Amino acid sequence: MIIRITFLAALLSISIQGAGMGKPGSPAATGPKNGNSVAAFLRNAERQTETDEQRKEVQRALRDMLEKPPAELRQIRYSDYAGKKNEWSVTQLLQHYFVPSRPAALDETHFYEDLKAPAARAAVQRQLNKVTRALQ
Amino acid sequence: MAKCVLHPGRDSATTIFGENYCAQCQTGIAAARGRVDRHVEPKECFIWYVSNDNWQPITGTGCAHWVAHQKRIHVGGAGACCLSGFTYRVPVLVRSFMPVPQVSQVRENDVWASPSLDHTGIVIRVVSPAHAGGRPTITIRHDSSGQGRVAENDFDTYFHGHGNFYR
Repeated sequence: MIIRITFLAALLSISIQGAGMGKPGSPAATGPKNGNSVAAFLRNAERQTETDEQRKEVQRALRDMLEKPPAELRQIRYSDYAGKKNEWSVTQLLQHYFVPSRPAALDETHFYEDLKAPAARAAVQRQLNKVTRALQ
Repeated sequence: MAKCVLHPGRDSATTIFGENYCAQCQTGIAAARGRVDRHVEPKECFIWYVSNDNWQPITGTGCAHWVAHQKRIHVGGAGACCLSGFTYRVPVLVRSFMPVPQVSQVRENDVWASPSLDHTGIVIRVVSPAHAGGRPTITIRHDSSGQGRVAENDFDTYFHGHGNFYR
């Protein structure tokens, strides 16, 4: 028993050391099999934005995610980094400005369905609150 | 025969940044590198493994990633570091430094970050104020998604004099 515990502890130690050496991260939970892709992507995600124009576009997209029906949201295109209008879908915008807590990618096929879930809407609202505070 | 660092059942086909990868990873890494945004520097390591042979560019703007390479910052572990081991998260990056208490004490090579820690850069020039008690003129170099390149901008005008400095 002691030997088994020691062996497991050694394995854990190797795993932690590897994680500190810049090795690829663990696979992310981004699909419906693994939970809600929108909540997984946005919960505790770090927003990276350079200008107030970019922050306002992120704010607009997050508001749309809470207010627009999926069919309408699917059609909307947002400005890119440089402010060029009608360039990015909502999933493209999110991936250009947010760094999820673990490696992840958004999947268009599940995104609009996952967005309806309370966990996803809560994560969107939290990010909306943060970017709104940053703009004040 | 060396094995893939992500897929121990597969033989290594290449070594990238000191790690072994299988043929599928080699292909995925090459494809993901080709999709990294044009302003991101350096590009070849700004990718991550998502799942199921799915390699993608790291999301976000890459501002902290550029600073981390310039400053050789490796902190944060696998969930915060690029393929070559440099930090890509702003809050993790700035925790590696001590805050500079006042703008008047800012020096070249200090790190700057926006108030909400959503953007970062490096001070490359500080010009003393013309009169006593005035503010220095500070130039910041940063990986600018808005300008599509590593750019140099004035702290007071481009960044509205907002943000904090770290050393």
